[in-house]
Amino acid sequence: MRILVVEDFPPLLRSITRGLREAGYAVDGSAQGDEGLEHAETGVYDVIVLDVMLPELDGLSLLCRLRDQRVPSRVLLLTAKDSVEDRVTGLDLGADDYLVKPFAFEELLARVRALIRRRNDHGAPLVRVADLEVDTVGRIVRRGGHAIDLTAREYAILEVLAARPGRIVTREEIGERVYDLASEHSSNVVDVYVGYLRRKLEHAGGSRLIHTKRGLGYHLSEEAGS
Amino acid sequence: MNSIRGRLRLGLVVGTVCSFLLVGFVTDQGVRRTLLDDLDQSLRDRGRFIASTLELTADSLELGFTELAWRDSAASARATLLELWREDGSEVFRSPGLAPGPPMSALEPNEERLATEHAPGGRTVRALHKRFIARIDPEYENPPTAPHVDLRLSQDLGHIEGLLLRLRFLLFLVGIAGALALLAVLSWVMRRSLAPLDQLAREIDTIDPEDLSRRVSRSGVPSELDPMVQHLNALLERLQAALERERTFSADIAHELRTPIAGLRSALEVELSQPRDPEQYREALTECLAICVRMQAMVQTLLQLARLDAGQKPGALLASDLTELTRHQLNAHRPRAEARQLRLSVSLGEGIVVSTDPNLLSTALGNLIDNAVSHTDDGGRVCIDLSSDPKGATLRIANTGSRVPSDQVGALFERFARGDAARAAGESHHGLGLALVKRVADVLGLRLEATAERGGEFRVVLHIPRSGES
Repeated sequence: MRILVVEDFPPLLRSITRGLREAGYAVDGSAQGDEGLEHAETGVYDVIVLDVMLPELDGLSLLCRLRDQRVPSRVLLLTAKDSVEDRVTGLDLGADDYLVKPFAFEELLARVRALIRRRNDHGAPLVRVADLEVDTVGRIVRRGGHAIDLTAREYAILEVLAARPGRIVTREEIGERVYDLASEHSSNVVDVYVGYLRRKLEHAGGSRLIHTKRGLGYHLSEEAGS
Repeated sequence: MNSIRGRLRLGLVVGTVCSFLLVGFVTDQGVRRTLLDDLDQSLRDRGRFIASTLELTADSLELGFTELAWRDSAASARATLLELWREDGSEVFRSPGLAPGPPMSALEPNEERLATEHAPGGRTVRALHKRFIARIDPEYENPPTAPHVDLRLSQDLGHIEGLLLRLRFLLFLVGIAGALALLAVLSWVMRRSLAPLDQLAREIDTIDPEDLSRRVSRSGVPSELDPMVQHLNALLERLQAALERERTFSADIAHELRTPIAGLRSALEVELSQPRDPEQYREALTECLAICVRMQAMVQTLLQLARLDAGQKPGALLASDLTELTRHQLNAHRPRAEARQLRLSVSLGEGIVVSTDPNLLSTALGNLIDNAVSHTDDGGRVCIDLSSDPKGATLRIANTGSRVPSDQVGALFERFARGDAARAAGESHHGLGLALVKRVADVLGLRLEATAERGGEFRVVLHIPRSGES
């Protein structure tokens, strides 16, 4: 899952970016509103963590532009202003959630997870495909009741696929959602990681769940068809 | 007594009573005087008449009127009683029933004297005493020298006293009725006149201290109260502005402190979320330390501003070597300028001495240099020029790479009202430094000017008068 953080206080930007990366997300950061808008307009982000007070272009104007352009990313506003009016203004302009500084990092993570679930059109934190269980809160993957140990990248790819079970996700999309601007990648790398993932999921002799649709991409489902 | 109403009421009562008493007393005395004068005149006239009719004949002293004609008897309350004696004390005439009066004092011939006397029977009378020389009958042959005759003509005052008593009673009734009517009217007028005060008090009472945007209405306010209402509204206006400033400032403080605290907390939480190598911990701690230093600088500046706002007076004005003060502040910021590879162009006139509070001035100098060093573009130039003329000293500080549009320069000197460009300068700046410089300049009486052009130079000129506040 890919996240954009726009925050003008550099230490806070650094720690949020780092914390989210360590939580397994692909994260890009920007300290300025106009630069943040450029990133956000690409539409590749699941969640945008947006500070309200920004130089050059403030967070609320940025939010308006995104909504005008129908960018589907979920937006979590981050602000030091805590009055009711400020919150209402932010939400009315199209923000999906609101977090007042200072905040507990755990809460930021929980809100980001909730926004990702809503972005993927299902509110349940637990995704089940056949005997596979993906717990997006605890980031735990089980097959037939046994936990499977995945690397952060493998998990991220599985989560992208599990977000829309049964539907085809292109290699490019997986790349966009799993890699941030700082990491270099190619669709080959995605193939390699999908290979690792399959091996781990089928290790105990389970049937194939990640299917390849030649020329299109991958999908996660019980049946190879669809 | 502190109540206007009470004072007016007391004044009205005392005034009314006094004026009625005065009017009553004057009327009473005036009427009494008039009645007595009238009585006296009538006594004199009658005395003269009687004296003119008394004639000495060969036989006796004869009255020109028959005794029957003077029939007033002592029994009658309104009687005018007459006594006549010869000089030797022999009685000539006495009104019927009249007891002999008190002895008369010796009078000169043709002398009249009027007196109020106590007559027998406890009565008070007005009496005319007169000594005159009786006429001699022209037919009297060989008349003796004309005898002196004494006359006492007295009139009971009971009648006049009765009249006066009725008059007083009337005056008393009129007084009471008048006073009551007057009090009623004045009380009504007073209540009507003072009603706007109560109205005003109620209106002021409804003003919510949390919302000072309301004003007291001037419509229907008496002209005497209008200046008060105007001043009150002006006061409300100032209070509202001050409260607004205070609220904005507090909100800004909260806002500006929240971000670094959020940074600190996030940095610490992320760092503690998993085990790391010592090098990573070191980096994280360094970052947290930087945030703390920033917050400390901000709190310190806030405290300085708060002290100046609370009316801190400048310390003793000392002869201060401005060159030294500037050099000292410059040296403190030189390492940072060098680290940013800025070109410093410094020209300090030697031995420039001004009379000022060196501590406050140093604060301003430090903040100005800090601001220049922080906002110069990478590899840019900072110019510092100190010169003097007979009036005082002038410090010019300029830096290249200004990101402030010329119309936003003023806003830079307001608290937290940082230009977007200033915010971009990042972590070391809290947007209070220039506000503090401005406050110090106000307190020390320095003149502060700033100009900027986007992409060009940001220039601040500080004029320091040679002695004290200008």
